[in-house]
Amino acid sequence: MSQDDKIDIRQLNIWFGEKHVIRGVDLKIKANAVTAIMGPSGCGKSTMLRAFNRMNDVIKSSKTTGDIFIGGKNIYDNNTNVYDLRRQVGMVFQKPNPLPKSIYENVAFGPKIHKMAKGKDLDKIVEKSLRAAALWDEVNDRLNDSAFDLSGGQQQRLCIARALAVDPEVILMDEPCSALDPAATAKIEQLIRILSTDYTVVIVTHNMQQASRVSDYTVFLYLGKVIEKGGTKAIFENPQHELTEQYITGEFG
Amino acid sequence: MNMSNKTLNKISSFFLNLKSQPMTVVLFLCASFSVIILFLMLFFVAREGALAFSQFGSDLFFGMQWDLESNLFGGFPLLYGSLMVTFGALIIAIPVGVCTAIFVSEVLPFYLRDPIKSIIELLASIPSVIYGFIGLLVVVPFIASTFGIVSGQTALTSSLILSIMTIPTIVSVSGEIISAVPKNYKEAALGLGATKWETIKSVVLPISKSGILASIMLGFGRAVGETIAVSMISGNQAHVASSYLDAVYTIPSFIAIHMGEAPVGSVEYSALFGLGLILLIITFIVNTLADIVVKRGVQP
Ligand SMILES: Nc1ncnc2c1ncn2[C@@H]1O[C@H](COP(=O)(O)OP(=O)(O)O)[C@@H](O)[C@H]1O
Ligand SMILES: [Mg+2]
Repeated sequence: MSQDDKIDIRQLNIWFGEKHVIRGVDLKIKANAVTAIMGPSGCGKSTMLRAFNRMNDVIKSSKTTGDIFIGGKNIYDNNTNVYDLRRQVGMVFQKPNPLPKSIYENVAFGPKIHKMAKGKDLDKIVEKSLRAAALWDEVNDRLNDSAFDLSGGQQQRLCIARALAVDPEVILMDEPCSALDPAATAKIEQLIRILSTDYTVVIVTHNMQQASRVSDYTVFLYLGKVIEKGGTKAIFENPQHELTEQYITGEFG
Repeated sequence: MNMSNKTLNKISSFFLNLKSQPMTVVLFLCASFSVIILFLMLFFVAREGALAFSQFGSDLFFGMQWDLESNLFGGFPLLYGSLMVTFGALIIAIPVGVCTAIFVSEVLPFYLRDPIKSIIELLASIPSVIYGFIGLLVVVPFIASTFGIVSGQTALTSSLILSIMTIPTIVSVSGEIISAVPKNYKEAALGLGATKWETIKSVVLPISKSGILASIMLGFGRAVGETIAVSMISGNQAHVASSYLDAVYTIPSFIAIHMGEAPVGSVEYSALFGLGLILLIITFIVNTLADIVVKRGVQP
């Protein structure tokens, strides 16, 4: 594995019950870059993403084989601490899902459960994370308001701030803009670009324009298999595989 | 003024719209039916109790003696007994019920959840006289021997049995609410590395707290109104009990036992209805308070 690969996936297979959803995926994901996973609905994008922080463990019918190395450590090792893994590998979901708490407490939640800071230090982490998520200026005078009072776009940035607060290395985003209007989407996309200087970002999207706007690398997933992968520009301008070409020209989707 | 005009307008346009919507009319009539029944019940109980209220007024609430010979109709010991027994029952039933609900809907393996829920709901359907039997047969002697008292028919005995009767209600209603918490909110906490318990504490309980409160209110209603089981095990003594090891008399048991021998239209008859009205008022107050708390708590 080369120095700048952050995630190394080897022979990943995932089933839900009898259904074979991810079928023998081998893939490397570059550090400090944005990688987009695109593909038609139901092809396994979310399932693959949720393998990177072992969120599929929560689903009783799921079964995973293969290995995923993150920063050189196999996260499917028996002695992996999943709680610690999920601190290192943050996740932003499709629908904004703030905790039923205040804005402040949403961001402070992660650092608190991982006993990372309290008091003044915690305040600093909250401010820093909200700034990094480009939300600080909009909420600094109402940190104690309920997170549900925010707009959808603000809630999603709060969810990003919340993920940043535990000092992760990787940020997974599952169609983070699908519930947002164009203005809010533009803000999040801008943010994703900025985040990639410090974090490894993996974003699932079935919006091709979005993939081409925000990502450095693109993976095309189809029926649980990686059909094509490479630099985003190369994939969009010169797809090697027929299926990829059909997908980006909008022939199916 | 402005406000009430607006409200009036809304109400009148609602009625005008009814004409064009037959389904709405049907639903409206069904909804009205329960409201009408409620008011009729209040009306009849109040009408029968009016005589006693006019003669004894607040004595019905606060008087210490109930004595036909001396024409005394003080309901305080009964009110006290009812509240004492209900309070004791809830002290046990709330923690046990809520914990059981969490356990059944969040912790238990999936294939066990439905069977266990059915068993708990079965408990709720056992007739209360059977609970009275079990109380007499098992709990009364147990309390007597454990605390070394002559009679095991005590407030504690009643609270214990009532808590067992209340727990299924709390478990099944709050269990439904807890299971209905959207998955994506739980994943918010799990995705940050929270454990199952942290997730329950920070997401599941806050989101379902108003539903849990509603289940407790239902439990309260069941406990405060329970008649037969309690009358079999509470000792039925109309005094202000000094401890949970004393016998007590509750309003429903007292009414049930005395109604038969009170001549219709007599003062005693009316006073018993007055007690019934007090019981109704208590449940209304508690329900209204709960409603207010629930409304406030909708947004965390
Ligand atoms: N919890 C689950 N239980 C059973 N099947 C699931 C579950 N989650 C996803 N699947 C199935 O796995 C396949 C891939 O789903 P998903 O990864 O969500 O696709 P995508 O994100 O690409 O739209 C779909 O066929 C879906 O029905
Ligand atoms: Mg998906």
